Amino acid sequence: MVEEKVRSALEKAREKVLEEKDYVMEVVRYLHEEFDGYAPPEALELAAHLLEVPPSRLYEIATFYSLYTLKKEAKHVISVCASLPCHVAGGREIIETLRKELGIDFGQVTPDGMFKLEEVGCLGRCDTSPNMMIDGTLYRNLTPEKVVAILEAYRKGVIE
Amino acid sequence: MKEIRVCAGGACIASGAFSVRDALLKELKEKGLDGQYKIVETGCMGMCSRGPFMVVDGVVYAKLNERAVKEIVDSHLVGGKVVEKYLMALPEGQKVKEAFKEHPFFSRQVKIVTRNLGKIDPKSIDDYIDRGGYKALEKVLKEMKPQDVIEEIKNSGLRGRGGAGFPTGLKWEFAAKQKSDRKFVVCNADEGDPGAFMDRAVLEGDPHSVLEGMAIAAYAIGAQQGYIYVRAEYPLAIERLTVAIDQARRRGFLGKNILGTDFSFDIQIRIGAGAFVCGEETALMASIMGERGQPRVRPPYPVEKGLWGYPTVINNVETLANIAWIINNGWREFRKYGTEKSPGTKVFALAGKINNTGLVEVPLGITLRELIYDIGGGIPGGKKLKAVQTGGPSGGVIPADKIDTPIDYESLTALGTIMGSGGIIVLDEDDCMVDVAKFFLEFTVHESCGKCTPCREGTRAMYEILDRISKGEGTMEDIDALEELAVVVKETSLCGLGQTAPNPVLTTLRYFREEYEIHVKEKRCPAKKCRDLISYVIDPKACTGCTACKIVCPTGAIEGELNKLHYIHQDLCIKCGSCMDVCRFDAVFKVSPPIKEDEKVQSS
Ligand SMILES: Cc1cc2nc3c(=O)[nH]c(=O)nc-3n(C[C@H](O)[C@H](O)[C@H](O)COP(=O)(O)O)c2cc1C
Ligand code: FES
Repeated sequence: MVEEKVRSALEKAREKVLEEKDYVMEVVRYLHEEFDGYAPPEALELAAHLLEVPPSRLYEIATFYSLYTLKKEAKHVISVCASLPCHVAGGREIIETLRKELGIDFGQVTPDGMFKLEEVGCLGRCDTSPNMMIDGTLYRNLTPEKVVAILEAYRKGVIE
Repeated sequence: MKEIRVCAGGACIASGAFSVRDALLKELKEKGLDGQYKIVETGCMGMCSRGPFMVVDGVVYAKLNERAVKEIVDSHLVGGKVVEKYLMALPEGQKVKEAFKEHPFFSRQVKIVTRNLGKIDPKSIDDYIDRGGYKALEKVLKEMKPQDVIEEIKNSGLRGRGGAGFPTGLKWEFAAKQKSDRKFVVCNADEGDPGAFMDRAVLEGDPHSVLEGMAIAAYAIGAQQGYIYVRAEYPLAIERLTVAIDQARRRGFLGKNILGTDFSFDIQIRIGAGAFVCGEETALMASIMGERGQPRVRPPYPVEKGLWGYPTVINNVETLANIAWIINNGWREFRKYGTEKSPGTKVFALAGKINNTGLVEVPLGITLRELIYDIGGGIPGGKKLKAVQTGGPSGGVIPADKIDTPIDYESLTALGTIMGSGGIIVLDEDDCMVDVAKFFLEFTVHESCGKCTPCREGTRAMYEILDRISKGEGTMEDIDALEELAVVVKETSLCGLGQTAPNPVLTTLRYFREEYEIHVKEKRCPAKKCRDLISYVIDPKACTGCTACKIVCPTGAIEGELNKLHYIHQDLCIKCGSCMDVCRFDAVFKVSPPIKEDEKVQSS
């Protein structure tokens, strides 16, 4: 299973590489695609082995960038914009609502493993502030009521 | 066949542009008009707060939905009668048909970078070519020597739009002079400044203009390979770029022997992974080379030693989107706009407390007043303008009394802020300057890569002081210490991130020092924003006893019976503001300094 996914990630990266080293970045990215949002240590080590580079090269990348992670911590990752344009447009209330509804703070996961809450910098959508993203899907012009409804939709599985 | 243009920019898609398009298709079919009209899905038309948009015979319809489409087809297309209801209104309330010509938001703009936005289908290379696309590349390859191209760009005075404002022609000249058999061109599309989204709009709405700019740059400096580094948060931009690169290759505008010449150049996309600092050019290169995205000391500059040690030109999306226009129209035409030292236009993103949020392209040298009032339509809710924040976390605030300053690189620097990538965040009387400064520092603390100490530790220390002040725990010494720290961090940090991070602090101190002092001395937040310095109270004269606030209060801090005056227990209140949001009688208000349980306040 793991090996299949790693090989597939290497394959896809190989199609795009120009230089030996920019390979590594692409490999980590495709591993996240293969494993649906994370790159487990065993996959990184296997990939490093196949690429004949020290595992630290891959770990370095998988741990530096905030979109990369070594373990799947929650089913859905909520990234709420915490930058000024969203803040002045009512973002503070959105963050408040998320904290209250989920009962967790930034960087934490709900006890049922359903949601992880993260704050992110400007999503480049300040024309529709306040904004948040859940697993890459954008939700805009948020109000506390909308947030509650959106969370409910995820909880009920209406949105996967 | 006539064209109906439907805006398919990110914001319009999110507010239903595709159902508008589908409804339009259906209506056209039903009325048997599908042979007469062609629907063109365009990039962002700019005024994102009023979308979805549609343009028929020059008439601009806004805020559309499926029902509106039906009415417009029935009345306008079949009956020849314009549907007033869906036209845009001038600030004075009068409706206009051809808003792009008549509404000041559009009519004051000069479209160079955004020349094709809202006009072409970004997925169609033919649309781009029909509007003169790739002509500049052809002209350059067939009629100009690389040095001529560089001279043209140098004469135009174009300055980098990614933040620092470095002259683009000069940068190319340095790179061209390097003797190397390999060179690179990189497009910086990592747009991360809070409040900026023009690069996204260009990539989503006119990707070929960026590709053409890159190919011309590559010819000028002698590069064979290009990269576009896009942030992962822009999936639509990535998709449109991928399509565009593929089309350009098939038409021979990219790849081997472009347009039959011996010039070869190709482009690949690299996707960021959520690190703001990767927008800094040396960090960006590290990231492309498969390393942690950390900046390094310059010199050597990328034009000397860039990707894998080869000369590399890094330019911003907007910078590159200017290139083909300058080649086609000549540098003299470009210099007709803007100022002597800052020629041309700039795309600004209007956000925050402003009526018309969205993107506008205007000549440099325009004043903030024109931008905010004439084009942006002023401040909503009759509130007073307090300050304008430019340049994101690297910039600063400009107080309301300085808004007649022309916007160009030098004037903004003189005010202590920077142009940055063109994000304009408008702040009104409800915004607190300590809060704003704290906000940006929080961002920098988060995004500092950790390599150099002044940035890593200094920004954290500044943040802690600001946090104390916002809680009413600051001292007058804190304010001085904050200022000193800011200067040290500015002078000793390794890269632009740390060197500019103190700007929000320095400018708020410079223009709003009194506000800091009030937080310290009176434990009061004049804008009533800093949570620890306010209390929510109920106005006995206005409260009707409807119980709405009592029901929403999450901590049960509100007491009161139906039709009787309600009361907020300060010791239970967590200051979430839900009561204020829900009250229909404006009976809940904020006071600062905060009051204690049992303390009475005068209603304001
Ligand atoms: C912390 C930091 C972040 C930056 N982010 C960006 C960015 O998102 N986009 C950009 O074009 N330039 C960014 N820059 C500026 C780049 O380093 C570089 O100056 C620019 O890409 C050069 O292109 P230009 O000459 O066309 O402006 C950033 C700089 C710093 C210090
Ligand atoms: S500030 Fe939230 S999207 Fe830009």
